Amino acid sequence: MKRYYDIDPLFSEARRLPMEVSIEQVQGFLATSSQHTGTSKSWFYSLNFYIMLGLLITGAIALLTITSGEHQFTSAKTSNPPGLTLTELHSKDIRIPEPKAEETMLAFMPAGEAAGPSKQPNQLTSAPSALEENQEVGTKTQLEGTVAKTAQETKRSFIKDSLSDDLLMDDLPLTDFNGGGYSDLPVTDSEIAFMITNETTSEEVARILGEGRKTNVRISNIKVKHNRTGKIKVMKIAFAVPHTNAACDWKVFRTVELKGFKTYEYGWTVDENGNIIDFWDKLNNKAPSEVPLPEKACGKVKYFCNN
Amino acid sequence: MKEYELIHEGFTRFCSSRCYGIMDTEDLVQESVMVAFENFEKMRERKAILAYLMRTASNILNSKLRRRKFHGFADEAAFEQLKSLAPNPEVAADIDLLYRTLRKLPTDTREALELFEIAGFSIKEIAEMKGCTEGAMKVRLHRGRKRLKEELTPQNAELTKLMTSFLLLF
Repeated sequence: MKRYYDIDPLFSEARRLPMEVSIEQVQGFLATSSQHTGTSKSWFYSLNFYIMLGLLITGAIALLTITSGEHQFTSAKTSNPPGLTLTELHSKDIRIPEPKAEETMLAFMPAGEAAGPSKQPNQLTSAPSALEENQEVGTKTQLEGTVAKTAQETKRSFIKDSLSDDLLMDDLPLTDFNGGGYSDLPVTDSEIAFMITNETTSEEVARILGEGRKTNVRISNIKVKHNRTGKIKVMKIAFAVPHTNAACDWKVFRTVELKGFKTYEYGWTVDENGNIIDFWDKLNNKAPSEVPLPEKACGKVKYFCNN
Repeated sequence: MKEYELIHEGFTRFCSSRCYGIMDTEDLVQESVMVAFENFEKMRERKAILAYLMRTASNILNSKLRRRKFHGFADEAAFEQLKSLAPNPEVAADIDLLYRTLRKLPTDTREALELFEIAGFSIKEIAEMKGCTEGAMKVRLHRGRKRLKEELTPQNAELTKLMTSFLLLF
Protein backbone atom coordinates (compact mmCIF):
# COMPACT_ATOMS: atom_id res chain seq x y z
CA MET A 1 0.00 0.00 0.00
CA LYS A 2 1.26 3.39 -0.94
CA ARG A 3 2.06 5.60 2.01
CA TYR A 4 1.16 9.20 1.61
CA TYR A 5 2.88 12.16 3.08
CA ASP A 6 0.83 13.94 5.69
CA ILE A 7 0.15 17.38 4.32
CA ASP A 8 -2.09 18.77 7.03
CA PRO A 9 0.75 19.80 9.34
CA LEU A 10 2.35 21.58 6.43
CA PHE A 11 -0.75 23.61 5.80
CA SER A 12 -1.10 24.32 9.49
CA GLU A 13 2.42 25.65 9.63
CA ALA A 14 1.79 27.79 6.57
CA ARG A 15 -1.35 29.22 8.17
CA ARG A 16 0.49 29.98 11.40
CA LEU A 17 3.24 31.83 9.62
CA PRO A 18 3.16 35.52 10.47
CA MET A 19 1.87 37.75 7.75
CA GLU A 20 4.50 39.45 5.71
CA VAL A 21 2.36 42.52 5.13
CA SER A 22 0.26 44.10 7.82
CA ILE A 23 -2.90 46.07 7.27
CA GLU A 24 -1.14 49.17 8.52
CA GLN A 25 1.45 48.77 5.80
CA VAL A 26 -1.26 48.53 3.18
CA GLN A 27 -2.98 51.61 4.51
CA GLY A 28 0.34 53.40 4.56
CA PHE A 29 1.31 52.77 0.99
CA LEU A 30 -2.22 53.39 -0.17
CA ALA A 31 -2.19 56.79 1.47
CA THR A 32 1.23 57.55 0.04
CA SER A 33 0.54 56.38 -3.46
CA SER A 34 -2.86 58.06 -3.65
CA GLN A 35 -1.13 61.35 -2.93
CA HIS A 36 1.24 60.81 -5.80
CA THR A 37 -0.81 59.02 -8.37
CA GLY A 38 -4.31 59.91 -7.29
CA THR A 39 -7.27 57.63 -7.05
CA SER A 40 -9.88 56.79 -9.59
CA LYS A 41 -11.59 60.04 -8.77
CA SER A 42 -8.64 61.92 -10.17
CA TRP A 43 -9.50 60.68 -13.64
CA PHE A 44 -9.65 64.26 -14.78
CA TYR A 45 -5.95 64.63 -14.13
CA SER A 46 -4.88 61.41 -15.71
CA LEU A 47 -3.18 61.11 -19.07
CA ASN A 48 -5.91 58.81 -20.35
CA PHE A 49 -8.45 61.53 -19.92
CA TYR A 50 -6.57 63.89 -22.16
CA ILE A 51 -5.87 61.18 -24.72
CA MET A 52 -9.57 60.36 -24.89
CA LEU A 53 -10.46 64.03 -25.05
CA GLY A 54 -8.07 64.55 -27.94
CA LEU A 55 -9.47 61.56 -29.78
CA LEU A 56 -13.01 62.80 -29.29
CA ILE A 57 -12.20 66.26 -30.58
CA THR A 58 -10.37 64.81 -33.58
CA GLY A 59 -13.31 62.54 -34.33
CA ALA A 60 -15.80 65.37 -34.05
CA ILE A 61 -13.77 67.54 -36.40
CA ALA A 62 -13.46 64.70 -38.89
CA LEU A 63 -17.19 64.04 -38.69
CA LEU A 64 -18.00 67.68 -39.21
CA THR A 65 -15.66 67.84 -42.16
CA ILE A 66 -17.21 64.79 -43.76
CA THR A 67 -20.73 65.98 -43.07
CA SER A 68 -20.11 69.41 -44.52
CA GLY A 69 -18.56 67.81 -47.59
CA GLU A 70 -21.62 65.64 -48.08
CA HIS A 71 -23.85 68.62 -47.60
CA GLN A 72 -22.07 70.52 -50.30
CA PHE A 73 -22.26 67.53 -52.58
CA THR A 74 -25.97 67.09 -51.91
CA SER A 75 -26.62 70.74 -52.44
CA ALA A 76 -24.79 70.60 -55.70
CA LYS A 77 -26.97 67.71 -56.77
CA THR A 78 -30.30 69.05 -55.70
CA SER A 79 -29.95 72.64 -56.63
CA ASN A 80 -28.10 74.54 -59.21
CA PRO A 81 -24.92 76.35 -58.39
CA PRO A 82 -25.56 79.89 -57.27
CA GLY A 83 -25.55 82.39 -60.02
CA LEU A 84 -26.17 79.85 -62.77
CA THR A 85 -29.35 79.61 -64.74
CA LEU A 86 -30.43 76.38 -66.33
CA THR A 87 -29.10 77.54 -69.64
CA GLU A 88 -25.72 78.32 -68.16
CA LEU A 89 -25.71 75.06 -66.31
CA HIS A 90 -26.27 73.01 -69.44
CA SER A 91 -23.76 75.02 -71.38
CA LYS A 92 -21.12 73.73 -68.96
CA ASP A 93 -21.10 70.31 -70.56
CA ILE A 94 -22.79 68.48 -67.74
CA ARG A 95 -23.80 65.13 -69.17
CA ILE A 96 -27.11 63.84 -67.96
CA PRO A 97 -28.75 60.89 -69.68
CA GLU A 98 -31.59 61.86 -71.93
CA PRO A 99 -34.86 60.65 -70.42
CA LYS A 100 -37.84 59.48 -72.33
CA ALA A 101 -40.84 61.72 -72.45
CA GLU A 102 -42.99 59.28 -70.47
CA GLU A 103 -40.38 59.04 -67.74
CA THR A 104 -40.30 62.76 -67.56
CA MET A 105 -43.99 62.89 -66.88
CA LEU A 106 -43.78 60.14 -64.32
CA ALA A 107 -41.03 61.85 -62.49
CA PHE A 108 -43.52 64.25 -61.02
CA MET A 109 -45.72 61.51 -59.65
CA PRO A 110 -45.53 59.43 -56.50
CA ALA A 111 -43.62 56.17 -56.73
CA GLY A 112 -46.66 54.01 -56.17
CA GLU A 113 -48.55 55.73 -58.89
CA ALA A 114 -45.75 56.01 -61.36
CA ALA A 115 -46.56 52.64 -62.88
CA GLY A 116 -50.12 53.69 -63.43
CA PRO A 117 -52.05 54.47 -66.54
CA SER A 118 -50.18 57.60 -67.30
CA LYS A 119 -47.57 55.45 -68.99
CA GLN A 120 -49.99 54.71 -71.77
CA PRO A 121 -49.94 56.72 -74.91
CA ASN A 122 -51.92 59.85 -74.85
CA GLN A 123 -54.94 59.42 -77.02
CA LEU A 124 -56.49 62.73 -76.12
CA THR A 125 -53.61 64.67 -77.31
CA SER A 126 -54.56 66.97 -80.02
CA ALA A 127 -51.06 68.31 -80.32
CA PRO A 128 -48.56 65.42 -80.32
CA SER A 129 -45.77 67.81 -81.01
CA ALA A 130 -45.80 68.73 -77.35
CA LEU A 131 -44.38 65.35 -76.39
CA GLU A 132 -41.75 65.62 -79.04
CA GLU A 133 -40.72 68.88 -77.57
CA ASN A 134 -40.49 67.16 -74.26
CA GLN A 135 -37.91 64.84 -75.70
CA GLU A 136 -35.97 67.68 -77.14
CA VAL A 137 -35.65 69.36 -73.84
CA GLY A 138 -35.18 66.13 -71.98
CA THR A 139 -32.02 67.18 -70.23
CA LYS A 140 -33.63 70.03 -68.44
CA THR A 141 -36.64 67.93 -67.63
CA GLN A 142 -34.43 65.23 -66.20
CA LEU A 143 -32.83 67.74 -63.92
CA GLU A 144 -36.15 68.84 -62.55
CA GLY A 145 -37.67 65.40 -62.55
CA THR A 146 -34.79 63.79 -60.71
CA VAL A 147 -35.04 66.26 -57.95
CA ALA A 148 -38.76 65.95 -57.83
CA LYS A 149 -38.47 62.19 -57.36
CA THR A 150 -36.83 62.71 -54.05
CA ALA A 151 -40.00 64.32 -52.76
CA GLN A 152 -42.55 62.00 -54.19
CA GLU A 153 -44.61 61.94 -51.04
CA THR A 154 -45.22 65.61 -51.30
CA LYS A 155 -48.03 66.49 -53.63
CA ARG A 156 -48.22 69.60 -55.66
CA SER A 157 -50.43 71.05 -58.25
CA PHE A 158 -49.17 72.85 -61.22
CA ILE A 159 -51.49 75.32 -62.75
CA LYS A 160 -50.75 77.36 -65.70
CA ASP A 161 -49.88 80.82 -64.54
CA SER A 162 -52.45 82.41 -66.76
CA LEU A 163 -55.15 80.68 -64.75
CA SER A 164 -53.83 81.26 -61.35
CA ASP A 165 -54.49 84.86 -60.65
CA ASP A 166 -58.09 85.29 -61.63
CA LEU A 167 -59.45 81.78 -61.25
CA LEU A 168 -58.28 80.80 -57.81
CA MET A 169 -58.27 84.09 -56.11
CA ASP A 170 -61.39 83.31 -54.10
CA ASP A 171 -59.77 80.20 -52.62
CA LEU A 172 -56.61 81.95 -51.78
CA PRO A 173 -56.26 82.74 -48.11
CA LEU A 174 -52.71 83.89 -48.45
CA THR A 175 -52.85 86.54 -51.06
CA ASP A 176 -49.15 87.20 -50.80
CA PHE A 177 -48.53 84.25 -52.98
CA ASN A 178 -50.73 85.38 -55.74
CA GLY A 179 -49.17 86.85 -58.77
CA GLY A 180 -45.70 88.11 -59.03
CA GLY A 181 -43.24 87.92 -61.84
CA TYR A 182 -40.70 85.25 -62.49
CA SER A 183 -37.09 85.73 -61.84
CA ASP A 184 -34.26 84.42 -63.88
CA LEU A 185 -33.25 81.89 -61.29
CA PRO A 186 -33.56 78.24 -62.16
CA VAL A 187 -36.62 76.31 -61.14
CA THR A 188 -36.43 75.20 -57.58
CA ASP A 189 -39.68 73.36 -57.12
CA SER A 190 -37.63 70.53 -55.66
CA GLU A 191 -36.77 72.72 -52.74
CA ILE A 192 -40.43 73.26 -52.09
CA ALA A 193 -41.07 69.58 -52.28
CA PHE A 194 -38.39 68.93 -49.78
CA MET A 195 -39.70 71.25 -47.25
CA ILE A 196 -43.40 70.64 -47.23
CA THR A 197 -44.24 67.73 -45.03
CA ASN A 198 -47.13 66.61 -42.96
CA GLU A 199 -45.74 68.43 -40.00
CA THR A 200 -45.27 71.70 -41.78
CA THR A 201 -47.28 74.53 -40.34
CA SER A 202 -49.15 77.00 -42.45
CA GLU A 203 -46.63 79.71 -41.65
CA GLU A 204 -43.85 77.50 -42.85
CA VAL A 205 -45.78 76.64 -45.99
CA ALA A 206 -46.35 80.29 -46.63
CA ARG A 207 -42.69 81.02 -46.26
CA ILE A 208 -41.64 78.06 -48.36
CA LEU A 209 -44.03 78.73 -51.15
CA GLY A 210 -43.25 82.37 -51.02
CA GLU A 211 -39.64 81.59 -51.63
CA GLY A 212 -40.66 79.21 -54.34
CA ARG A 213 -42.64 81.89 -56.09
CA LYS A 214 -39.61 84.06 -56.20
CA THR A 215 -37.70 81.33 -57.89
CA ASN A 216 -39.91 80.83 -60.87
CA VAL A 217 -42.77 78.95 -59.26
CA ARG A 218 -46.11 80.59 -59.46
CA ILE A 219 -48.32 79.99 -56.48
CA SER A 220 -51.91 80.04 -57.47
CA ASN A 221 -53.76 78.54 -54.57
CA ILE A 222 -53.06 77.41 -51.11
CA LYS A 223 -55.52 76.17 -48.60
CA VAL A 224 -54.45 74.72 -45.33
CA LYS A 225 -56.57 73.24 -42.63
CA HIS A 226 -55.27 72.44 -39.25
CA ASN A 227 -56.07 69.87 -36.71
CA ARG A 228 -56.24 70.67 -33.04
CA THR A 229 -52.51 70.55 -32.59
CA GLY A 230 -52.01 73.15 -35.22
CA LYS A 231 -50.51 70.81 -37.76
CA ILE A 232 -51.66 70.42 -41.30
CA LYS A 233 -54.36 67.89 -41.74
CA VAL A 234 -55.72 68.71 -45.13
CA MET A 235 -53.82 70.76 -47.57
CA LYS A 236 -54.74 72.11 -50.89
CA ILE A 237 -52.02 73.66 -52.89
CA ALA A 238 -51.93 74.62 -56.48
CA PHE A 239 -49.02 76.28 -58.09
CA ALA A 240 -47.55 76.38 -61.47
CA VAL A 241 -44.09 75.82 -62.66
CA PRO A 242 -42.72 76.11 -66.12
CA HIS A 243 -42.03 72.55 -67.00
CA THR A 244 -39.37 72.78 -69.55
CA ASN A 245 -40.07 75.61 -71.83
CA ALA A 246 -42.31 78.30 -70.50
CA ALA A 247 -43.28 79.39 -73.93
CA CYS A 248 -45.02 76.27 -75.09
CA ASP A 249 -45.01 73.42 -72.64
CA TRP A 250 -46.48 73.29 -69.20
CA LYS A 251 -47.08 70.45 -66.88
CA VAL A 252 -50.19 71.21 -64.99
CA PHE A 253 -51.39 69.17 -62.10
CA ARG A 254 -54.32 69.84 -59.96
CA THR A 255 -54.39 68.33 -56.53
CA VAL A 256 -57.88 68.64 -55.29
CA GLU A 257 -57.19 67.56 -51.77
CA LEU A 258 -54.16 66.15 -50.16
CA LYS A 259 -54.53 64.10 -47.05
CA GLY A 260 -51.09 63.22 -45.96
CA PHE A 261 -49.90 64.25 -49.39
CA LYS A 262 -50.67 60.95 -50.97
CA THR A 263 -53.17 61.38 -53.76
CA TYR A 264 -53.21 63.08 -57.01
CA GLU A 265 -56.72 63.17 -58.17
CA TYR A 266 -56.36 64.76 -61.50
CA GLY A 267 -53.62 65.75 -63.80
CA TRP A 268 -53.54 67.73 -66.96
CA THR A 269 -51.05 68.70 -69.49
CA VAL A 270 -51.86 71.81 -71.36
CA ASP A 271 -50.25 73.51 -74.23
CA GLU A 272 -49.15 77.06 -74.36
CA ASN A 273 -52.66 78.27 -74.96
CA GLY A 274 -54.10 76.43 -72.01
CA ASN A 275 -55.68 73.69 -74.09
CA ILE A 276 -55.73 70.23 -72.59
CA ILE A 277 -53.40 67.82 -74.30
CA ASP A 278 -53.42 65.16 -71.61
CA PHE A 279 -55.71 64.21 -68.81
CA TRP A 280 -55.89 61.31 -66.42
CA ASP A 281 -57.62 60.30 -63.28
CA LYS A 282 -55.21 58.90 -60.79
CA LEU A 283 -57.72 58.48 -58.06
CA ASN A 284 -59.68 55.94 -60.04
CA ASN A 285 -56.56 54.59 -61.65
CA LYS A 286 -57.76 55.19 -65.14
CA ALA A 287 -55.72 55.71 -68.21
CA PRO A 288 -56.01 59.00 -70.03
CA SER A 289 -57.88 57.31 -72.82
CA GLU A 290 -60.47 56.00 -70.37
CA VAL A 291 -61.14 59.30 -68.75
CA PRO A 292 -63.69 61.43 -70.47
CA LEU A 293 -62.91 65.03 -70.37
CA PRO A 294 -65.10 66.89 -67.94
CA GLU A 295 -67.74 68.95 -69.49
CA LYS A 296 -66.18 72.07 -68.27
CA ALA A 297 -62.93 71.01 -69.78
CA CYS A 298 -63.98 72.11 -73.15
CA GLY A 299 -61.81 74.93 -74.05
CA LYS A 300 -59.55 76.32 -71.44
CA VAL A 301 -58.39 74.53 -68.40
CA LYS A 302 -59.41 77.34 -66.15
CA TYR A 303 -63.06 76.35 -66.38
CA PHE A 304 -62.65 73.17 -64.44
CA CYS A 305 -59.83 73.96 -62.13
CA ASN A 306 -62.29 74.51 -59.35
CA ASN A 307 -63.79 71.05 -59.62
CA MET B 1 -10.70 49.90 3.00
CA LYS B 2 -13.23 48.32 5.31
CA GLU B 3 -13.95 45.68 2.74
CA TYR B 4 -10.29 45.01 2.32
CA GLU B 5 -9.58 44.72 6.04
CA LEU B 6 -11.85 41.71 6.20
CA ILE B 7 -9.91 39.83 3.61
CA HIS B 8 -6.45 41.19 4.22
CA GLU B 9 -5.09 38.18 6.09
CA GLY B 10 -6.35 35.61 3.63
CA PHE B 11 -5.22 37.61 0.67
CA THR B 12 -1.75 38.15 2.12
CA ARG B 13 -1.30 34.46 2.84
CA PHE B 14 -2.49 33.65 -0.64
CA CYS B 15 0.06 36.07 -2.05
CA SER B 16 2.80 34.61 0.14
CA SER B 17 2.17 31.19 -1.30
CA ARG B 18 1.66 32.30 -4.88
CA CYS B 19 4.65 34.57 -5.20
CA TYR B 20 7.11 32.34 -3.39
CA GLY B 21 10.37 32.56 -5.30
CA ILE B 22 8.91 34.89 -7.86
CA MET B 23 8.63 38.24 -6.14
CA ASP B 24 8.23 39.76 -2.71
CA THR B 25 4.88 39.28 -1.05
CA GLU B 26 4.80 42.91 -0.07
CA ASP B 27 5.30 44.01 -3.64
CA LEU B 28 2.56 41.74 -4.90
CA VAL B 29 0.11 42.82 -2.23
CA GLN B 30 0.93 46.43 -2.81
CA GLU B 31 0.55 46.28 -6.56
CA SER B 32 -2.68 44.30 -6.39
CA VAL B 33 -4.26 46.57 -3.82
CA MET B 34 -3.24 49.62 -5.76
CA VAL B 35 -4.88 48.33 -8.92
CA ALA B 36 -8.01 47.39 -7.02
CA PHE B 37 -8.09 50.74 -5.29
CA GLU B 38 -7.81 52.64 -8.54
CA ASN B 39 -10.61 50.66 -10.11
CA PHE B 40 -12.77 50.45 -7.04
CA GLU B 41 -15.41 52.77 -8.47
CA LYS B 42 -15.81 50.58 -11.54
CA MET B 43 -16.55 47.42 -9.60
CA ARG B 44 -20.12 46.33 -9.94
CA GLU B 45 -20.18 44.61 -6.61
CA ARG B 46 -18.06 45.57 -3.71
CA LYS B 47 -18.12 41.98 -2.55
CA ALA B 48 -16.17 41.05 -5.61
CA ILE B 49 -13.09 42.82 -4.33
CA LEU B 50 -11.51 39.59 -3.18
CA ALA B 51 -11.94 37.96 -6.56
CA TYR B 52 -10.65 41.10 -8.17
CA LEU B 53 -7.59 41.12 -5.96
CA MET B 54 -6.91 37.45 -6.63
CA ARG B 55 -7.19 37.91 -10.36
CA THR B 56 -5.01 40.99 -10.27
CA ALA B 57 -2.36 39.22 -8.23
CA SER B 58 -2.44 36.27 -10.61
CA ASN B 59 -2.05 38.54 -13.60
CA ILE B 60 0.87 40.33 -12.03
CA LEU B 61 2.53 37.03 -11.23
CA ASN B 62 1.93 35.69 -14.71
CA SER B 63 3.52 38.80 -16.09
CA LYS B 64 6.52 38.30 -13.82
CA LEU B 65 6.75 34.63 -14.71
CA ARG B 66 6.99 35.41 -18.39
CA ARG B 67 10.14 37.37 -17.70
CA ARG B 68 11.31 34.87 -15.10
CA LYS B 69 11.84 32.29 -17.81
CA PHE B 70 15.08 34.01 -18.58
CA HIS B 71 16.22 34.44 -14.98
CA GLY B 72 14.97 31.44 -13.05
CA PHE B 73 13.36 31.36 -9.62
CA ALA B 74 14.94 33.16 -6.70
CA ASP B 75 14.26 30.35 -4.27
CA GLU B 76 17.25 31.02 -2.07
CA ALA B 77 16.25 34.57 -1.35
CA ALA B 78 12.67 33.48 -0.78
CA PHE B 79 13.81 30.80 1.61
CA GLU B 80 15.88 33.28 3.56
CA GLN B 81 12.82 35.47 3.82
CA LEU B 82 10.81 32.49 4.98
CA LYS B 83 13.36 31.58 7.59
CA SER B 84 13.12 35.02 9.08
CA LEU B 85 9.38 34.63 9.51
CA ALA B 86 9.20 31.01 10.60
CA PRO B 87 9.71 30.12 14.26
CA ASN B 88 12.54 27.73 13.37
CA PRO B 89 14.38 26.55 10.25
CA GLU B 90 12.59 23.20 10.18
CA VAL B 91 9.21 24.86 9.85
CA ALA B 92 10.64 27.12 7.20
CA ALA B 93 11.92 24.07 5.34
CA ASP B 94 8.51 22.41 5.54
CA ILE B 95 6.75 25.46 4.24
CA ASP B 96 9.35 25.84 1.55
CA LEU B 97 8.73 22.26 0.55
CA LEU B 98 5.01 22.88 0.49
CA TYR B 99 5.27 26.01 -1.64
CA ARG B 100 7.61 24.32 -4.10
CA THR B 101 5.35 21.33 -4.44
CA LEU B 102 2.29 23.48 -4.89
CA ARG B 103 4.02 25.13 -7.81
CA LYS B 104 3.97 21.78 -9.62
CA LEU B 105 0.18 21.54 -9.52
CA PRO B 106 -2.16 22.90 -12.14
CA THR B 107 -3.10 26.50 -11.58
CA ASP B 108 -6.76 25.92 -10.72
CA THR B 109 -5.95 23.16 -8.27
CA ARG B 110 -3.15 25.13 -6.76
CA GLU B 111 -5.29 28.22 -6.29
CA ALA B 112 -8.05 26.18 -4.70
CA LEU B 113 -5.64 24.62 -2.21
CA GLU B 114 -3.98 27.93 -1.43
CA LEU B 115 -7.27 29.68 -0.87
CA PHE B 116 -8.76 26.94 1.25
CA GLU B 117 -5.81 25.51 3.13
CA ILE B 118 -3.51 28.49 3.48
CA ALA B 119 -5.63 31.61 3.10
CA GLY B 120 -8.44 30.08 5.13
CA PHE B 121 -11.43 30.97 2.98
CA SER B 122 -14.47 28.75 3.03
CA ILE B 123 -15.42 26.49 0.18
CA LYS B 124 -18.50 28.61 -0.49
CA GLU B 125 -16.45 31.78 -0.77
CA ILE B 126 -13.95 30.14 -3.08
CA ALA B 127 -16.71 28.69 -5.24
CA GLU B 128 -18.31 32.10 -5.62
CA MET B 129 -14.98 33.62 -6.41
CA LYS B 130 -14.16 31.04 -9.04
CA GLY B 131 -17.66 30.89 -10.45
CA CYS B 132 -18.27 27.21 -9.83
CA THR B 133 -20.39 25.11 -7.52
CA GLU B 134 -19.33 24.09 -4.07
CA GLY B 135 -19.38 20.46 -5.15
CA ALA B 136 -16.98 21.15 -7.97
CA MET B 137 -14.73 23.00 -5.59
CA LYS B 138 -14.76 20.12 -3.15
CA VAL B 139 -13.80 17.74 -5.92
CA ARG B 140 -11.03 20.04 -7.00
CA LEU B 141 -9.73 20.29 -3.46
CA HIS B 142 -9.86 16.55 -2.99
CA ARG B 143 -7.95 15.90 -6.18
CA GLY B 144 -5.51 18.64 -5.32
CA ARG B 145 -4.77 17.18 -1.93
CA LYS B 146 -4.36 13.75 -3.46
CA ARG B 147 -2.02 15.08 -6.11
CA LEU B 148 -0.08 17.01 -3.50
CA LYS B 149 0.32 13.90 -1.39
CA GLU B 150 1.61 12.00 -4.37
CA GLU B 151 4.13 14.70 -5.04
CA LEU B 152 5.21 14.56 -1.42
CA THR B 153 5.58 10.79 -1.14
CA PRO B 154 8.65 9.66 0.85
CA GLN B 155 10.97 9.09 -2.07
CA ASN B 156 10.14 12.51 -3.45
CA ALA B 157 10.11 14.04 -0.06
CA GLU B 158 13.45 12.55 0.83
CA LEU B 159 14.94 13.90 -2.31
CA THR B 160 13.42 17.26 -1.67
CA LYS B 161 14.60 17.26 1.93
CA LEU B 162 18.07 16.38 0.80
CA MET B 163 18.02 19.31 -1.54
CA THR B 164 16.66 21.56 1.14
CA SER B 165 19.26 20.52 3.66
CA PHE B 166 21.89 21.00 1.02
CA LEU B 167 20.65 24.49 0.54
CA LEU B 168 20.55 25.08 4.26
CA LEU B 169 24.24 24.34 4.48
CA PHE B 170 24.87 27.43 2.49
